[in-house]
Amino acid sequence: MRGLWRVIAGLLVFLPLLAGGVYVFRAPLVGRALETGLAAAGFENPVVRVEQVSFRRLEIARLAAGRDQASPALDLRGVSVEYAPRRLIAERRADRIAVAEGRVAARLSPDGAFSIAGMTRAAERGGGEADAALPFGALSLGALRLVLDTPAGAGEARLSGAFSPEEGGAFALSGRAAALGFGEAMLTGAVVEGELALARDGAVCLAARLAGDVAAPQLALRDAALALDGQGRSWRDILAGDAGGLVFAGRIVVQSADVPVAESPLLAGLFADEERPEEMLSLAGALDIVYGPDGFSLAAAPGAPPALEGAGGRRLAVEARGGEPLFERRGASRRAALKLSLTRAPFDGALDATAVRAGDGPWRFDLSARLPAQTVAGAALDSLTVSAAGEGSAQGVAATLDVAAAVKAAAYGDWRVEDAALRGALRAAYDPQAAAFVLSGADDECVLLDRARIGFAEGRARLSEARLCPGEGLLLEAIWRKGVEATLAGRLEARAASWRLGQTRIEGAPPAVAFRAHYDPLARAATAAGSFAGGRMTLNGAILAADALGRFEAAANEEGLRATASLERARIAQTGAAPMIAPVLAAGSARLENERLSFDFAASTPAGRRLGAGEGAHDLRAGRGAARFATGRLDFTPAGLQPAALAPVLKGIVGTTTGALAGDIDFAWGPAPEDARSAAAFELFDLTFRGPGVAVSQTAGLTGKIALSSLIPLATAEPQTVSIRRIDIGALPLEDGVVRFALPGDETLRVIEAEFPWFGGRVGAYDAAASLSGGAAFIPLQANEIDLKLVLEFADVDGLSGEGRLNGVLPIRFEGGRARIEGGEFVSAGPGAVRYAGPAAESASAAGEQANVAFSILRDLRYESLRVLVDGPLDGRLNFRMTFEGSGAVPVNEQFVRAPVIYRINLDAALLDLLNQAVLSSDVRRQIELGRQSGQEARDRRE
Amino acid sequence: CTTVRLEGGDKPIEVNLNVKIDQEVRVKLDREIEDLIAENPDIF
Amino acid sequence: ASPIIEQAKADCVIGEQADGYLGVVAGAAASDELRREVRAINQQRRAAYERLAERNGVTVEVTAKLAARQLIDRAPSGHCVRDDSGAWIRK
Repeated sequence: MRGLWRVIAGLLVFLPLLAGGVYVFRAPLVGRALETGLAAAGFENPVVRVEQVSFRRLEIARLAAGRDQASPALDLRGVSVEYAPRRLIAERRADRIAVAEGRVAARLSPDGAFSIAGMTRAAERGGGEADAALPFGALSLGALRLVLDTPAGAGEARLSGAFSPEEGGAFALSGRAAALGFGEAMLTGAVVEGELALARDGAVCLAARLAGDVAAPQLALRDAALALDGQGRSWRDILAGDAGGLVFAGRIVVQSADVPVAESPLLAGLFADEERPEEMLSLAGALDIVYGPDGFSLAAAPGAPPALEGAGGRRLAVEARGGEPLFERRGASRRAALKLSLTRAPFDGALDATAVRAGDGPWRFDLSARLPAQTVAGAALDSLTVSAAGEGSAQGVAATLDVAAAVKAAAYGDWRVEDAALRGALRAAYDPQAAAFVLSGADDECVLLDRARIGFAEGRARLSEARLCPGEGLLLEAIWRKGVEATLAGRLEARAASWRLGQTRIEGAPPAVAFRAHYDPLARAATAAGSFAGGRMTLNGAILAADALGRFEAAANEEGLRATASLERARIAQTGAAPMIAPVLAAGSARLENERLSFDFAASTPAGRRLGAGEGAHDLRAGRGAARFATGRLDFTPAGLQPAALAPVLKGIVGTTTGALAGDIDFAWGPAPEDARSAAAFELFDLTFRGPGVAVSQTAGLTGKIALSSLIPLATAEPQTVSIRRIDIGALPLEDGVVRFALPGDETLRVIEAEFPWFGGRVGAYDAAASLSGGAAFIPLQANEIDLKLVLEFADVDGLSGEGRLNGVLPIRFEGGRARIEGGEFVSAGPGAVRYAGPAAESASAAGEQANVAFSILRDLRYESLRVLVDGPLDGRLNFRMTFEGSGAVPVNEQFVRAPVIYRINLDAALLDLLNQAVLSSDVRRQIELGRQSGQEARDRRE
Repeated sequence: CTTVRLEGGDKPIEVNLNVKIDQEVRVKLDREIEDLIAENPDIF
Repeated sequence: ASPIIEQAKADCVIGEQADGYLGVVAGAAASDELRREVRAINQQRRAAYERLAERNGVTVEVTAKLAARQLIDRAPSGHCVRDDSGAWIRK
């Protein structure tokens, strides 16, 4: 801006030159006198060849002066002076001076002193002559060649025209200057052409056309064609050496100018366009200038605002803001107010800015920009509004920004951002040397991302109410070189986020991510690294991952995304109020490379007990993956690891457990839910636990290998075999059995064959079904080749023995946590015998004749057929109804006769008691007491 | 605890022996149950 | 017992049965989580009854029934209990 004032000053320097020329003619008319006069006036080697002198005219062929005689600095030809002798002598003023042609070389020194061929005159208001009237009535110049050497550069011009102090006049000027300096701007290779009209009333009317190259700090113009026309006031003051009072108003029109982008860093930023880097812009437009004593102002000429245009309609125009001038200098303070309207430079939009500067302090500016919906560098914006206030100077710009942006869709390689709404307060700083633009958080203000949908390949993420906060200082450092190199660091949190790829859906509250990311435009590659903590997200609504803690590194370029993550800890649980598996702690690491995710992990209980480790891989594009988890040997101890704690689904089914288990579990999944498959191989080491359920008091020594073809639902491909050391169902202990079973996958357990040795024979379940969820079950046990001798030995009733073979069925119904035998029946295979000579027999004989007969038969009851019916709860009183058909010794007249007998015994007792008897056999007295009581009760019932 | 019916003749002798091993409810058990309930509030 | 059990008892979703175990009241909506807690409690009660029956030479069933009588007597009014016939009544 400051340069323009100098333009005017430079042009107006011709006026004192005029005065100098006239001053020369005030000298005495005659050649010699002229020469001495010239010499007196300081001109070196003045030569005056007078051609003709008359009373009223003086014709000078040549008037020259200057140090170098061969080419004198002052060399005028055909000079004629008309005068009235009286006025000449009295007022030392000629009537008319005319110069046919000539050459004048003048020099303007830096301090404004003006010299021609040795004659110097201070340009400022010094020097007395300046106050006197001009020494001629009228002056006319034919074709004067003017060489001007100013501190701002040298130039040469042809000057012609006529002028008189009273009437004014007009001059035409055309010339060239190697370099003309105006403040920091330089006009090189300038061609100047202009007309100057000086009206009687002192008004100066100037019309000039300038062409050449302009070099300014932030702007370079090539082949610029400028036009200047305007009028000022008053030339009389200037001629009187008082240029201070000049008032000038005019219009500078830039018809055309080429603007090489490379040399204008600021423009490079605005017009940087990776696809078609802009080489050359064109500038056109007009500025209205008003120049006054205490300052000047520049306004955009209506209808022709200065505008920079590039190829393809790209345009940057500077327009007035309301009525205000674009730029104004009042004394030491400056003020600018402009509206920039941008068309794809690099985006469409209107920028409204005002700036003030006091003295040579920095510029203080305030701007707001509004960008309508458009596509900028691949991003389809809905709207962007930025308002900023700050300071700027040559060293750089610092401002606080309020940004609000709504992005409809933006794509960068495989990355897509859609429907994003962002707002925040930021601090911006621009360093012209490094062309670096730094955006940092204003104090601890965060950038709020109300919502955003981000897509990468097929994956789609959605963020809502996210905040990007200055972790250790949100730093967005963007450096404009070939494209924008940016570094972004901060902490990203969001209230909710979801990520969807094919069938996998992860949603919930994401962990907070502290990161540092960098984008390198040359390599078109981005890298990011950071840590994440917290969060609570579910995978497909089934698996919950929470309180994660870990680090990650990622690099994305044209080929795709490569990332590694190390998970220090995450709490993994099944969702729902009644999860099948209890929460576990997972730790591990993952690697992502060309769309393939591979990971390894270790699992432990929240208390830190190791559960096993696994690894797996997932193909992102195919959405297919598999993982294997090996538990290694897990030892169950009452105070330590417990199955029901690991898998709450077992609560109340598997009680306190000891022994060990090792399992290898395989998962596989694919895009469709039905692709999900799981299989497992378990090895049981002497597993002993209360249960299953309430009815079975204990299952002990479960050992064997089980191969499950599916975990959900539990299923086996073919029958599995395990051995059981002992299973206690209330009164029915079964030991050393082998169970062959299958899990059809319909939540039931099919026992193919479960056989236990029993009293010399076998008891077992064959092809029985039970529900896994522990509800009701009906298991018909079959007993084969049961040895009555062993049974009676087991009952261990004092004095009771016998032998015989029995086969039968023991149907057990499990219901409501209790087991009952329903319709148990044993039938003898072949004859046998029962013999009882226990204490109950003796006491019974005293109880009466019938009892005596009954027990004498029992002393040796041989049977051809025996049928035993058994019913009752296994945890309560069992009822045995035995029917023997055989023969027994009956007492007849002091002898025993063997007679056929149908002997029914109805025994209603708790098998547990029988067991107790086994315990009690050592205490015979008790045995009798039991006998007497039961007898007493029997009598009561009969009365 | 035995009721016996004796029938003569060519038919075989039928004997029905009812043996019932009963337990009397002991007051001691009642009190132990009371203690059991008191000491295990988490399951009763 | 745990809050989920106490609440369920108070709401007549579960109640003491004559056989000494906790049962889900007929027709009441009991969550899986509650059913698991009831199963676990019954398993622990069974273990306790077995120890007591063993020590007193009686059957588990008798011990459980005796305990039931005490538990039913103590059940506060508003709770539901199940009598021998299997019918649920609200005290």
